[in-house]
Amino acid sequence: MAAPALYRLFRSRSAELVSRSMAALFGGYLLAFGFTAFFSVYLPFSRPNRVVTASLLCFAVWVAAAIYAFAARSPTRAWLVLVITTAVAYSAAYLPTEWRLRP
Amino acid sequence: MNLITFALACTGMLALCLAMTRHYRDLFNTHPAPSRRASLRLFGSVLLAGCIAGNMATQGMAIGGVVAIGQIMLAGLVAGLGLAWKMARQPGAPR
Amino acid sequence: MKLRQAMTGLHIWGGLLPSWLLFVIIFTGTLACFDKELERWMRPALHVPASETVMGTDAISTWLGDNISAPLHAYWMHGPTDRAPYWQLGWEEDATGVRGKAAFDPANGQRLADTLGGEFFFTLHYNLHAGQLGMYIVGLAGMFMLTALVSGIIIHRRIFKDFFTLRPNANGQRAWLDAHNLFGVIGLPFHLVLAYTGVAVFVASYMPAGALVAYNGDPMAFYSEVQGGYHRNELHQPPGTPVSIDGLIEDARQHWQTSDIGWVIVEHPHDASSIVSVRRLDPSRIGSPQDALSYDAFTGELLNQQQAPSAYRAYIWLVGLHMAQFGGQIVRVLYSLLGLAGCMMLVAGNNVWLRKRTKRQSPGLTLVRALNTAVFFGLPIASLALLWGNRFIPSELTSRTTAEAWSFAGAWLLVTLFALLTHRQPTRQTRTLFAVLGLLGLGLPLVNYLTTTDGHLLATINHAPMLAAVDLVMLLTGGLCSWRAVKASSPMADKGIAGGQDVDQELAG
Repeated sequence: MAAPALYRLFRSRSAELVSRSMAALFGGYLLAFGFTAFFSVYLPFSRPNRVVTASLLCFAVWVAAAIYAFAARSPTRAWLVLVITTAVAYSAAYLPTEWRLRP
Repeated sequence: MNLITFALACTGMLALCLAMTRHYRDLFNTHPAPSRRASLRLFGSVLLAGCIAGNMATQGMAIGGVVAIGQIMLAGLVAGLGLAWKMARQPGAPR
Repeated sequence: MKLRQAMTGLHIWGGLLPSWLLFVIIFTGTLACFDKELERWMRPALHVPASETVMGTDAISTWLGDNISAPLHAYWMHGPTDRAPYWQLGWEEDATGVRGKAAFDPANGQRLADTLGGEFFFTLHYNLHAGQLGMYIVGLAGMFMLTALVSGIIIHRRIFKDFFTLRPNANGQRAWLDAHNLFGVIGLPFHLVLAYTGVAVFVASYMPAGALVAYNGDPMAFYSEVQGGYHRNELHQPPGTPVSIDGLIEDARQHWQTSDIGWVIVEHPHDASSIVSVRRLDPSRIGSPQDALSYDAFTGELLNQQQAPSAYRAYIWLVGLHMAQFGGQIVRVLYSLLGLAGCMMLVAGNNVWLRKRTKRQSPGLTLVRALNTAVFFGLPIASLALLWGNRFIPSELTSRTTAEAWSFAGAWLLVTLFALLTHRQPTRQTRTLFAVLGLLGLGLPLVNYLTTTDGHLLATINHAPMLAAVDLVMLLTGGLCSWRAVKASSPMADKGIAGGQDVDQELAG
């Protein structure tokens, strides 16, 4: 019948919107966080310069992630890309326990 | 000096605006020849360059640059709003 | 969803939802360009130019010792400048973290009557007067603005062809969309740069990842290394006899070969570790100088000159670009006019949303209309009411700032109430509110004349152009708004609910 199918369609559209919005907001912030952590370790500068440079650039990353969250083919794909990239970046940043503190 | 550079910016933006076919037609009611458009674009660009150079000469590269870009943006608004005002007072169908 | 469709939705909703908050932020930011001029205007005691300065920092330290008994974490002072011709003092109590401030007349050392001043608009701009939570809300709004700007660029089909296009005679939705595009695209460098630098100011609070990873989350190590300054922990020993701070300032002047001194900060004045930091003022550069001198408060020994790493100087440059305290009044005039363009962009965008949905009677129309009226008219009216209040509230009143705050808040509440009561008569509503703006604007110089002896336009026009400018801008604004109220109907007002298919096409992708 048409009515239940329409109802299901409506629900899934809302769900997709909410999912993408959450991905843009929280997934985006997490990616910016991971980006900042990663480049605060891996930029070839002195410690204060690494941290400040990476931090100042992170807002562009958050905006790009927000755009991506709505441009991606599906919300699931958006979440996967954002979360996996964040996890890789953050692990790479945190693992070298001595080197990341270098002056 | 700021008034001079702002005047340059306004005239330059107006020239660039009129270098566009639709705005030229709005103001002069004739279709602009490609050579006319090109010369208006050149004229406008030269004036904008003059605005930038004038500001940088008096206030340094950084502050002069900021003032120049600000004046050019404002001049763009003046051109757009001014043209709209003029067109609004003329009777005619919207494009 | 296709890209354009997705970006359109993101732009429309990502733009609409924070639009009222962004209007408050951008409008108060625009006013804050001239916060020092407004503050001077709001302090009638300063309207007579001071012939000489009798006051120095030592007098302020004495006043502090006489009037504030609680031990202080730090206090900070700033001498008179052209734009702010009075001594400024701020302090923070050690135990409670409570902050206070005072202003002093340099001619006689008297404490000036409290006022909300222009700083009220500046604080409203960066934290909505809501402390840390407000700061985070403003930061989030900034991110929404950046996203709306970028998505707007992506969806704008004819961004170059439509660059100068404004057709006020077209049907309502088309005209408003033209206006939104005009103010948005021509002002795009400004909107982008100010949104980004605005968010960047509080980067250390918004993005702690760098400090966590590279400094193991130690905030003191992070701040002191990044700023390249000097910090000395409290020794919990009794203080000695402090040397003259005026003497230290003289020493700083000698050191820098300049006489432009900015903030002077005294840390832990009740402890043996107390330090006096002197900062230099240099409005000829975008970034403020980062070469502060730190002196021992009891021996006067120069302990350190700040050596800021290059990235921090870049950060300070970005902050400076946002704050517009460089380059003279021309920069602030440009910023404030472009800020108004940003406000117009928001107003026009909201009107496009309304026009499109008025045909379909979508839900939320009444709410959006009410918010539009309450915020877009309410904030300017409240701001003018604050200035009116400043002139009427007697200077002897102890809680003067509270009374001024009530002028502001009360006026805004009244406008909101009016918006709710008259929501069925939109045309009359806007005309009345424009008339109110007109009366408040035109009336302020008159009120000024009736309530001050040296602060009104006739007195200031010759010797204090910046004070006169406030009155003149009021006259101009009042005149424009009155004209708007009187005009029977505008081309943009209620034209064509029907039509606008081309706009629908453009917006639907």
